Amino acid sequence: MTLSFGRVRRWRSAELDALAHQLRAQNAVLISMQDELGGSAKPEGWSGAAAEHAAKAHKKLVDRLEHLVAGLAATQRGVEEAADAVLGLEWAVREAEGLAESGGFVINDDGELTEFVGSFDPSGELALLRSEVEARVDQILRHAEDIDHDLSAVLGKAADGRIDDQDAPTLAAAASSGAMQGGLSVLGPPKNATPETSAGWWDALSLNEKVWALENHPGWIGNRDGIPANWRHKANMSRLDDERIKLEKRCAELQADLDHNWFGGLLTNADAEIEHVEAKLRALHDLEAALHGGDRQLLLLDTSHKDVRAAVSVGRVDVAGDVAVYVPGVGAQVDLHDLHAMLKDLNDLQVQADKLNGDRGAAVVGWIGYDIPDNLVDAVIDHGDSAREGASDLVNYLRGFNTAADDDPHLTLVGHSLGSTTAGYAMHHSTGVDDLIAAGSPGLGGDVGDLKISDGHTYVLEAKGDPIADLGVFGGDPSWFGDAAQLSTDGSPVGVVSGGHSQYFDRNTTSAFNTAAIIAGQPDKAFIR
Amino acid sequence: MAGSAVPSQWRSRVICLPQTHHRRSPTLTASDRALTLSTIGRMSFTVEPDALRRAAKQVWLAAEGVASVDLAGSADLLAAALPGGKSERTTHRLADDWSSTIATWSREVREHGDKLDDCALSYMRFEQHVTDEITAAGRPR
Repeated sequence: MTLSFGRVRRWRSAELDALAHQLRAQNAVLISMQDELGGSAKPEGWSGAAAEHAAKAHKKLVDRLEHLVAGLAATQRGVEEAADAVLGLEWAVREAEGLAESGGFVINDDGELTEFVGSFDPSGELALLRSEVEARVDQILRHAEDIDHDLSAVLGKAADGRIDDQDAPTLAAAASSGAMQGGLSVLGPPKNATPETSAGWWDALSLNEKVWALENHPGWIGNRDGIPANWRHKANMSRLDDERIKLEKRCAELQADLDHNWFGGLLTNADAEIEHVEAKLRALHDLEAALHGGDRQLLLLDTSHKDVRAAVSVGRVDVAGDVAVYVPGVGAQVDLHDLHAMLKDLNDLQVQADKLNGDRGAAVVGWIGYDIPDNLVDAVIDHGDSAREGASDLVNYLRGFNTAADDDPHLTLVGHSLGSTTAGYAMHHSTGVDDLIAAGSPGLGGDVGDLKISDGHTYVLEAKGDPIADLGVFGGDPSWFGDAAQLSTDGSPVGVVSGGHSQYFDRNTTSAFNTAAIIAGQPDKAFIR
Repeated sequence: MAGSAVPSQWRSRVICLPQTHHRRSPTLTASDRALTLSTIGRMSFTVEPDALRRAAKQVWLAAEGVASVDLAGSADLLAAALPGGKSERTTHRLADDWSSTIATWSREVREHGDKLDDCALSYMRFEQHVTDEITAAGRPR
């Protein structure tokens, strides 16, 4: 028999918590019998065969009570941990029900959704929301099954007398031994996870379980789309050292391999791999240095590919009302030079957006989350495959923002150069992005009308003297699409002109101001060409 | 001679006299007499009957204390708090186990206490019997 959503939503942490207290008090009564039983074990002055028989009989009785106390302590701990875990479930149930209601759905007792308001859904937002609610219901049930399975195992062991008191010398010691055997496991993340299932998994964990996961399995969290930014940041920061140690170890292995090879690197790829590993170590070093520059969060850290992938935010994503994700163009890497240049621009955009949006708060994330070609020629030669591949990761990354946040932030996607092509490909899917800005774009991978974004929310920046922006090699020149608003790159009362391919986000340019205005959800303040 | 006042096979290292009043005047039963004649001679033992009776009381208290704990009731509450799952069913099994364990244990512990108390009484009867015998042996016929 599997659990139904209707049953699980009747589970109450407070009842379990009260029961855990009751069991603890009851065990305290049993443990307090230690004085009576200890005092009567060997009556003073009594020796002989009868005394020995009596002592044996007494010990057997005490052993049985110790066994009961151990079983009760295990049960008490199991119930206590179940109470904590169910607290997370209760929150997740409320969250799922609220989310469903916001989309005009109701969750039935069998976990299915019923639509009570018919809706028009041109951008696919409602379909996305529906799939998110369904994913959350699945994860709630998965977590409930896990709690039930673990607790049932503890209860079963207690009922069968399989909680071992480990020959404890006292009833209190028996309780301690028993309690050690009553813990519940923390549920790991779902397999083949999507941002929605990950968010559902995470939301159903209690705070204690989340802290445990962070401390013991930061790898579950750091790169998982759908997890709130503050947790991802903490997990990735704690992973930095581990990643470095792993790479250093690999480097040493490769060096040892080379040292033992008479032909050096001639007959092995070890020397080439050492170069790659050393480059990754340098990238980690540079990344760490870049994180020290103010209110920054490390929202992606992946050393498992050819180049290190990372995402760094300027401003706190988890509390910002306006969030932008910036996708850089060709040649961008996790190194000191690129990080410094990118974060300087993003810092300016964040400060400007923060000024414009009142007290909503703004954060801008630089996403170097795929193998970016070294130059545009390579990108053209591979027919945009690298951009398309990057887009599939970007889609999950973007969807993760909305699913992770308690309040859906206003989300802007900013792509520069080939980054705008990657962004364009991503926007062929439902992402939760509210506004798209393509700067110096060689194409969005198709017509603006094909993008899953509401009408009037696509913007293009094309500066004078930017040849890349006129190429149109990836689905046409975006500036020719009537559906996209042309943001000014000229001089204006708010900024100077930007020219060429690389000045769009320079401080005090009109184009940077316009970008910040869109990020801040203030399009009326932007200068349209 | 003082050394020959008690036959050597009856001599215990210490036999303490009761320090409190008896519940009833000890009289020697047939089984006590059998114990006296067939077993005691091969044993060495010491006893303080009052300590035995105190131990019995402590054991009875433990039995009473444990019997007062309604673990089965708690298990039923647990089943109600987590409806629909395996835990609910396992909890019913646990409730039965706890219920019978506590009942059995408390009964057996009470019985153990009873035995200790009976032992104290037997020792006292035996002591009284021996005292009576010895006293009678010293009287002129």
